[in-house]
Amino acid sequence: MFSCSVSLRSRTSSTLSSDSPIKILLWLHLLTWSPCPHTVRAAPMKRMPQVTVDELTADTIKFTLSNTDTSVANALRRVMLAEVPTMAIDKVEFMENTTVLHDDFIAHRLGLIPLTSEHAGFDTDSTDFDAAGLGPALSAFQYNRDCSCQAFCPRCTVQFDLDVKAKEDSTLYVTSEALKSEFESRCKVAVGNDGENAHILIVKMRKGQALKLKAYAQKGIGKEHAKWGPCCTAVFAYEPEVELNHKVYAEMSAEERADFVDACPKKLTKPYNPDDRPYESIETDEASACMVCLDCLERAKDFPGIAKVRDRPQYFKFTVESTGALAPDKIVFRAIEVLKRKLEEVRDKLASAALME
Amino acid sequence: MEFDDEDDEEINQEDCWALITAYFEEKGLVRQQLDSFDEFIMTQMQEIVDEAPQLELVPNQQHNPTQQANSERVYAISFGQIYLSKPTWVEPDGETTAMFPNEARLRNLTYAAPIYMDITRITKTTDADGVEETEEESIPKVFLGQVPIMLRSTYCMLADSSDKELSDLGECPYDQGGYFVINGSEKVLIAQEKMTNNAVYVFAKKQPSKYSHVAELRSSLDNSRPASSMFMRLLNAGQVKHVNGQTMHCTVPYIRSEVPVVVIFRALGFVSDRDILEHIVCDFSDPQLMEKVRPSLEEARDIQTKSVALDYIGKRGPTQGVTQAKRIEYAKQCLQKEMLPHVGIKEFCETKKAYFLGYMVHKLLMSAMGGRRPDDRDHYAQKRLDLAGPLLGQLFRQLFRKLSKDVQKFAQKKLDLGQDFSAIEAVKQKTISSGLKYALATGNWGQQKSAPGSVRAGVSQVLNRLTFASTLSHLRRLNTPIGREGKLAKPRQLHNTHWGMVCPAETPEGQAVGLVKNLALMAYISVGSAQEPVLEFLEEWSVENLEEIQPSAIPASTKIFVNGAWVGIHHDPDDLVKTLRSLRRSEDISAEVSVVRDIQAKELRIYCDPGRCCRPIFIVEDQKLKIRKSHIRKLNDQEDEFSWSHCLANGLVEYIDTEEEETVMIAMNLSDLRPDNYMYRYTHCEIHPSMILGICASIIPFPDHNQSPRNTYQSAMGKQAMGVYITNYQLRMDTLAHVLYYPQKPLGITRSMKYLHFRELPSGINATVAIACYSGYNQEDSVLMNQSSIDRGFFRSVFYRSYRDEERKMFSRTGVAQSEHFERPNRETVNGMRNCSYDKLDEDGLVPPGTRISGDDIIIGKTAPIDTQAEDRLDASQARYQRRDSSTPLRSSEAGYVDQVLLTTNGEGRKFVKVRVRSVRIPQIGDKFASRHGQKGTIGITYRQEDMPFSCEGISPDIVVNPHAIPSRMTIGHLVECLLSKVSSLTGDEGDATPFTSVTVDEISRLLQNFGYQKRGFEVMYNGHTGRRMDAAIFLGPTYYQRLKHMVDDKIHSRARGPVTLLTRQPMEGRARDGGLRFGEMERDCMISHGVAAILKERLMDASDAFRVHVCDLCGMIAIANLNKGTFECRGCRNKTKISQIFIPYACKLLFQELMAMQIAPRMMT
Repeated sequence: MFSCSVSLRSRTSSTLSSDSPIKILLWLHLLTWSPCPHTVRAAPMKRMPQVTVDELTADTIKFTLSNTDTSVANALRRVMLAEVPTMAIDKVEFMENTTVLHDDFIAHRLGLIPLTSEHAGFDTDSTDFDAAGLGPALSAFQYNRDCSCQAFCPRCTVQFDLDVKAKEDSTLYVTSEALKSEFESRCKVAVGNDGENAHILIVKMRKGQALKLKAYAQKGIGKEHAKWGPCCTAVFAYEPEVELNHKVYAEMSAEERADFVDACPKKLTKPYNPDDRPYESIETDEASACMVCLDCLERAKDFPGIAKVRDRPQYFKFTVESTGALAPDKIVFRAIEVLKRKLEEVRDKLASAALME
Repeated sequence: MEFDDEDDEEINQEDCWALITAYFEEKGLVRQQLDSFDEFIMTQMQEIVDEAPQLELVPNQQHNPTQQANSERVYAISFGQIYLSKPTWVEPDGETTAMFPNEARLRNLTYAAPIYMDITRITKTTDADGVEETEEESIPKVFLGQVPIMLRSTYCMLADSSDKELSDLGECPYDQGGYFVINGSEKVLIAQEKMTNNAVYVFAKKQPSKYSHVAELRSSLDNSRPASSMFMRLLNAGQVKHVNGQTMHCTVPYIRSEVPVVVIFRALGFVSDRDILEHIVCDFSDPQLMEKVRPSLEEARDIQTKSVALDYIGKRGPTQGVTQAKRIEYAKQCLQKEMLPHVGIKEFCETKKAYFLGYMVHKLLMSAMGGRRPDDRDHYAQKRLDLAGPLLGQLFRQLFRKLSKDVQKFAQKKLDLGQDFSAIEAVKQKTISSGLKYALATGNWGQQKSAPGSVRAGVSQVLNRLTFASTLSHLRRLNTPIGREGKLAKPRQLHNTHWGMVCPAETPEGQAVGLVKNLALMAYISVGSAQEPVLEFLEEWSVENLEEIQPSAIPASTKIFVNGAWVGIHHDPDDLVKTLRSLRRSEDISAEVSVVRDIQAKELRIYCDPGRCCRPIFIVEDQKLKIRKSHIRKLNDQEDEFSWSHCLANGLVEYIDTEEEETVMIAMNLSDLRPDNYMYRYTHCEIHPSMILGICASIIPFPDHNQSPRNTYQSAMGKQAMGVYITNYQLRMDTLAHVLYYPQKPLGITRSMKYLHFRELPSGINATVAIACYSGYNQEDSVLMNQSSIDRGFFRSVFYRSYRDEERKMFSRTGVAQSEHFERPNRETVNGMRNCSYDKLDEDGLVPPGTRISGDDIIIGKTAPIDTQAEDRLDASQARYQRRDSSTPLRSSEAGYVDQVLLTTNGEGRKFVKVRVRSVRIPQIGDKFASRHGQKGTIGITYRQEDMPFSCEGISPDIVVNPHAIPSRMTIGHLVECLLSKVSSLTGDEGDATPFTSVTVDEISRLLQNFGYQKRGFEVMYNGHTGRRMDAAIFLGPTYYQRLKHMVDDKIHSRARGPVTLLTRQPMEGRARDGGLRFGEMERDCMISHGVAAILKERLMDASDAFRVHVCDLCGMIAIANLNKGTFECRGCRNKTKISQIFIPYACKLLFQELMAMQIAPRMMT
């Protein structure tokens, strides 16, 4: 009934595991699931959402979602921004702070440092919490508020330590590198991929200053505070199609043609000259870069129908950029999972409500 | 001068900025304050001492018959040289140390330096034989008192300190001084505007009136005495009997009624009509003017000799019933000493005075005939600014007079008792120290005990430290001391002559609009230079003295005035002016001397008095600037020591004051200076037109694209913006301070910001701003804000509040001095402890830094002694108390962490503590923000990133403002700034938003389009809630926004029940006291008109101060009620049964009791 194809145009990173197409299939099946069981019966959804990954790097993913509605695309975007859980420092205990920044300031900065964890998602299966004395090595973190512990425990919290003293005359840059996790395998500070700036500056110190603190990372979602949001950008756009009317173009004077061509900020309209006669004809290049500003139509107001700009129906180009807390593809997968769980919850609730009736 | 071809190049606009930079590098932004104060310290103070007369002391010894007086002694005290040392501080234990400003700020001391003076005591002994013997004893360096020192002035410890030294002393290298530290608080002296002295103004009187025109003059020799005003009035025809036509009358000091002008001439010794006429009209070729004088001559025909004229004046003097000789002598003195003192107060000044009087009459008549326009009272050339120097000079003069009077009194007393006196003892150092301190601390300019009307209030103000720009602006403020209630619009209006001197935008709104002004960036206030060099020069250049000329020579020559006094005439003014100017340009005479040649009136006015507004402009000769590219190269060359003052000394630029400005021809732009410009022949050229703006208006990008009131609004709002107000804020204990977490320098900058250090100490953030409605939670000047941005630190700020307390000395009833103590009060032994937490206090009675505190927690624990022996402590429950609580709680509506605690001793050596509390303020609904274009708004709602609109690039706005904020306000600058900033964010450098430059919107648009954006800054955006693309493109880009100090957390207030006032038992007023909201008379009126009497009664009585009293039914007076026993009684009526219980407002009960105390019986008949 549901078929879905995933094609990978370019693979610049190896983070996608081999079983990912199956997962996408499964989840997208749920994306098109209708909350009301009756409609499913009456008019089964015929759309087959499709995902094409266009580009995948360590911190961005670009993919196309097609064959589905704006609402689905937007739901995915919103969940990626706000509801994919990650780990972030939430509580800080200061032992010593003689830096120029006060405690609250440093605590806020610490909170915004992306932490990577394989266990910030949902509890998959593992229940052997203390297996082989490794502690809660495999299970997912719990939300601190749901955890059974008094204040913190390894189930919900990872402790980080920072202890720096400036002993030299030159300015000391305290970066996220100095933040040491107690449990590296569960959660650690994300490292950037551009050598020099791989670590995030926390505070600058002068000789004699010191900073000693304990920071506690906990799981949360972006809805609560932006520090738990895994992405910098999660955005989609419609794919535009531009169709130029060469007949109308032919009617234009050379000057008007130049005007029309120059009107496009993205320089999509290109003067095409087979025999070295400029502006003889035009062509569009990569119309998908068009941002629908319609400046071209505005400029060529006297020539109606010179161009047609349309949206490709049910076609969404996504760009997701990660903060470093979670790999970009994982953000997408986790978001779909969150969405799935939400839908499941609604379905269950509706079903139980129907049962009550 | 010779130049290479290359060096002879014309300069361009960029080079002008190099010159402006050189100007500010040398001068800074508070030069007027520093120069003026230095002038006071260096010269004025000594002058004041020198002008004080020698004190003569003759002992009035008691008659002693046994002792034969054989010799007579006369004493004299004269004051000599004064000395000033660097600021020092004497600890109460006697240790003397150098004082630094930050120590003064922290310990609430006064940053002042001691002054010393040489005193000479002269003893003249005349023995019985009449032989005189003089003995002189000089006492060097007598301590005179402490003079507060202006920070960064020549005598300040910080003068010439390098940035490194400054930061080691705990000072901010960007702070420019110009203020005082008095008792730990920073005080600025606000420049006071006043009318010039010694200038004749003629005004037409509004008819109907007795007079048609009035000539006014405020004459003052120097500033030592109050100016003596003179009014010469032209009466309307028919006002004087038996005279046909308009006569002139004139006031004479101390003479009660006005005197006909001709009488004054005769009293001065110019008796014949011809003599008088000569002094007025000079030549007799103008019959019309002669005819105008005729009625006045006719009026005075009865007074034909000098003595009769003097008698006429003397008769109208204050003393009556004295002999004629005395009257004449009095009138003579009056004319010599009091009338027109600036012309001369010595003998034989009559000729000069007559000429001056004639000049006044001439001016008056010319105005009356329409020969010249009446003067403009609001012309800025008629104004002088009293800065710190003259203001302190005035005060110091008063205090020094008091001091010398006290010395005289002291010495006289001693001598009268037959004792010798010591000059050191006689000098009371408190007079000057506390006199200056009092005036600076309170702002009441004048002596402490003087009459309330005679002192000016608000001269000294607490320096505003909200933003760096507000501090700078405060140091450059001008005040016009006329009543704020005055409805006259004229003095408040922007005058043409304010150009380049006073900021056209920066003025407060409301009562003080236009009266409080701010100096333009390059305005310079003259400090005053000696007039003697000018007079000498004039002498040399054959200016003819008035005493030596024939009146008939005047019309053909030019009258020369120096500081308003007519000194002579000259026949070749062209040459004279040229020479004077060239002397000024080579600094042979002071650069601030102004040379005004009024060709029409045939006058040459030279000014060198203090307080004139000047501004530097380029000198142009032959349509070419004198300044060349080679000079700019020298300026830019770091090694070359060519600076602004070299430009001034080389005649490249010069200071032009408001009066001289009207006699020169100034080109607005460099491009106007073309050799082929035959229309105008310029003598000068503006350095840059944007220099007309003041500090706050210089921060506005593209102010030339805004409606003018918007710039005024921004100028006021820029002062409330948060930023880093000074770099040493961690080392200061300001009572209130806001510091922004992540301040940014703006993307759209103006060139002037460089000099304001706005980039180093900014007060805003480049927010991504969309102009859209989007849900409508941004209507009526509210804005949407991105909650995710806020989470990431957008516009986060810290708020510091400092609390202070000291251990005061207390005196018990028996007069035993006891001290308060900082300690943790113990509930067992301390009385009157509050119902709140004392747990956070340490043993020493102070909260340790880092403690979290919330409303009403005690942060400074202090106890005061109580009289344990007191008789009235009968109550046994009170007996256990040894001390009384006097602790300081945190403000009830605030919470935070203790940031820093300072424990030290104050000036009296008592323990003194300051506690600084910090709290982080995260933007929330209700907080106020503003762009730099007078567009302010509060947060209406916050949306997370996913709910905000987004562009296809994933850009979502930080702030969404409503488009309705734009059209009616016409802040086009806001939009242009956004567009420019968008380009700047793409190019990665700052965009130039300086006003009056050639930047155009089309040019910015073109750049933006080249970066692949819609050229007008529009973006196609998607709705964050639905994901659908919005129909309208949205104007989106970075705009510099400011967070203003008004935040809901400081304003939120509600009350159900709460404290009441002691006297009336009505609810308290104000948020700080948890007060109620007033149900005022307008609200009352509403209730009455609705007819809801019960609600009205509930609001005004039950919810306020309802009070139960018992009234006797018989007499209507309040009865005695004992509710415990259930007994009621009216003793007067012997009535125990007929008593009613009633409810009245407590205030009503109070009134009745007060009436009863006045023997009025208010009866409540039930």
